Amino acid sequence: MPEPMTPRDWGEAFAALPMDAAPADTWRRVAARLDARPPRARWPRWLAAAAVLVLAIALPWRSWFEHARLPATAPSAQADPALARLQAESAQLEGLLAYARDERVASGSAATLSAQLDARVAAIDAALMQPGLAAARQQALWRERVEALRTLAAFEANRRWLASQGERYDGALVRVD
Amino acid sequence: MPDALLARARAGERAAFEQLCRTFERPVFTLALRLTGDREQASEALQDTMLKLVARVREFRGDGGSPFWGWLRQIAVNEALMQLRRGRRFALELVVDDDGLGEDPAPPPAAAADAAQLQRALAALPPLTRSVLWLYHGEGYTHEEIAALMQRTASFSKSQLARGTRRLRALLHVEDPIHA
Repeated sequence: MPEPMTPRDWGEAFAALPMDAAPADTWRRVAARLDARPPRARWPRWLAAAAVLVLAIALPWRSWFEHARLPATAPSAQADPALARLQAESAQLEGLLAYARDERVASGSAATLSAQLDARVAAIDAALMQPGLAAARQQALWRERVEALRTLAAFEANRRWLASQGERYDGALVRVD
Repeated sequence: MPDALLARARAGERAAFEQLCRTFERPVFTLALRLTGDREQASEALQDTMLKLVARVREFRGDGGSPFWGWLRQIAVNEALMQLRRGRRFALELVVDDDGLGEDPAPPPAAAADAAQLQRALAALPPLTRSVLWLYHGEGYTHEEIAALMQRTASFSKSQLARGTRRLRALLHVEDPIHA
């Protein structure tokens, strides 16, 4: 068996070292530490109300503003900047959702509706992960994702607001198409 | 790094974090082990890194195509160095900012091609010296970046590198007397 070549420099020598296997129970330990974290503090009423107000005003306004700004160019020239805007809005909505969501205040119907909306987002994500997606299809999926997240974020913010009022979400009041 | 996986993680999805953890646990653990030289400390640093990932994933912008690993690696380096500070293993080393040792430009000895020998030699180095060596040669950090990480000067980094390289060479020559 031929001897390995002497490395040319220390960088090459270090790069040739094999990686070490991490402990098998790493995720289990991380998950346990995540579960052991103290619960997030309840939002004060004024903050819950502010979140609902921000979502109610900012989301439709942003949608109108984005459409107003779009230059009249060929679709192929719009594809990248439009996709980037959709992805940026998606990330912002996820940030809002992460703050608005509180699993502790879920009623049965609220949890079901939230799960349905989550499932819609997950299905869109699964479609986005398909290789070789055409640009138009990719953009359409991201648009769907933004719409789903808008619905979900507004729903979760409203649910938090209701919880701050000592109320719970009633599934009869809202229909999700 | 698929955008969809990152998006799911940003949405707080536990399954996405698990997938990220399983994808990156090996390189993070390896990096932490190279710096700390201790499996238990490396395991702690790995867990702390993943917890920071969960807490800060929304901070990763990926602007201009910057890779996710670069962002995560920085967290892992900080956590590993923090493990060393907590264990006071840095405090036990005699630290000289600039001992006048010049750079050692000679190539590694033949024994450096033997992974087991090289790993043993690295493990025998003091933690601070080994960390500088690994960050410089293994991860491509500059002396200025290493200085900032360790709250020292660039001269300190250069001195540790020169000292560590000579020590590593000596350890490998001892292991490989045929080529000494």
